Amino acid sequence: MNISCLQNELSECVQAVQRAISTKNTLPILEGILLETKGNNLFLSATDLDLGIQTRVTSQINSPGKLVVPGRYFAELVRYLPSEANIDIRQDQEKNVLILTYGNSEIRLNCYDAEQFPQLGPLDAEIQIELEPKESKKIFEQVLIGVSKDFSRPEFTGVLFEYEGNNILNFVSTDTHRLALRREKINKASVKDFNKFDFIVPGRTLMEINRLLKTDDNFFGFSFIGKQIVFKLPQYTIISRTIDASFPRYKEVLPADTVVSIKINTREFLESLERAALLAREEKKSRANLIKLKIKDHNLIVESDLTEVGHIHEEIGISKEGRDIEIAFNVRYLIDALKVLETEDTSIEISGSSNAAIMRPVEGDDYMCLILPVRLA
Amino acid sequence: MKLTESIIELESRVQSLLSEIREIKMHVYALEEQNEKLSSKLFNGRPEQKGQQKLKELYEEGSHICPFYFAKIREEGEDCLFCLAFLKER
Repeated sequence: MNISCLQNELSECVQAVQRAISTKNTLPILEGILLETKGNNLFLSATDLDLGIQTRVTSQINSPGKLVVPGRYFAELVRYLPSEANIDIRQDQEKNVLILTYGNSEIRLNCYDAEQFPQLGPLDAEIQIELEPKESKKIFEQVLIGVSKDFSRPEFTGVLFEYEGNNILNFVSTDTHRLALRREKINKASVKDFNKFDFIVPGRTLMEINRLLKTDDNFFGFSFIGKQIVFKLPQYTIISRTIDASFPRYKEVLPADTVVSIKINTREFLESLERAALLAREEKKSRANLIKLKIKDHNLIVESDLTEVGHIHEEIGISKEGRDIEIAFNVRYLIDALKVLETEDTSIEISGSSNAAIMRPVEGDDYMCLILPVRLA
Repeated sequence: MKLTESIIELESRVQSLLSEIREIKMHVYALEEQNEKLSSKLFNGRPEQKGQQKLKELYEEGSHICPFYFAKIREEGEDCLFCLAFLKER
């Protein structure tokens, strides 16, 4: 291999793919980044066998080649190379060493055996379902708030992609205390091959996609083959294993009745909760992040108190249908939901002081976040 | 010399594996004990009449009763959407 490319372009791509490098010290080859020339491009790939990321850098290819560099060292070194400098990458095939040359300087890195690098999977798969890039970023943000970090139940650590044959794709996540559901109308032509499907995509995969997907990208889509899903972005291909588990029957937990429904200004409510959260930092776990909401006449009263520190009481004007009620929540859950609603006003439907409440944008019914209250002793 | 080093390395791996097994054994023991305790609570009496009540009691005492986390202590006493749906269903 003998190629040259620009430091800033190489660095951007290396930083992106290195996020798929394995952090578990199982197979040393998984700590590497595969560099491979194809046509006028240098392809970079990394995988931990659950997630794989591939991208390409436009380069001047003097002679083709393939090698696996130690990922973390390569990423850090490339980052600190002179900005926008022309970088020459050569391979000493006899010693399996990578030689980076810039100006009068060089770095030599011992490489792994490229033949041991695992196949990433069907990266060339055609897009089966196309989504609008900007909207997709928003969708993933909205559902990622409900993803659990408890890996003992993998089904809760991902987002359900569910298609039931009506041109509506559902994205659902739950950590058992809250549930986020986003419905997205999709282009009929893109789902013509499917009657229905459902699979769970790891939350980590969607987080990486959201890092790499730009709102002005000109396309975004995915295809699924067996237990793998391939996301295509203009600059990146991301392949991920789906989670091999059944998602719970989430429709059974959606409340059927509402005892009170309010509309409130999203920003005003969010700012009030941020203040109340400061006085909800109780050390006792069962009272940590606890705030009380009182719906009285046409006001929402937000209250929280912290032993030996103080008490906060705020009133916000609302429009209301139904009866007055008192209810307590984990303030973090309310804040997470309000941050991804992105509409001027929020609707909150409450079905009792110990039943789940639904938060959704006043305009449109494509998103809801179901949150369980905290029962007061 | 190389062989000796390999054997020493192998010995150290076996020792660390044994220590992991010991930890897992203690964990399994604790789980079995907890399971016995919960089962005796759940099935103490005629199950067809008292099962529902026992499940409710278990939940109120702070354990999950949903199929996903059955018998696991509910973190920080927080309610679970699926346990509540399970109780409501019955």
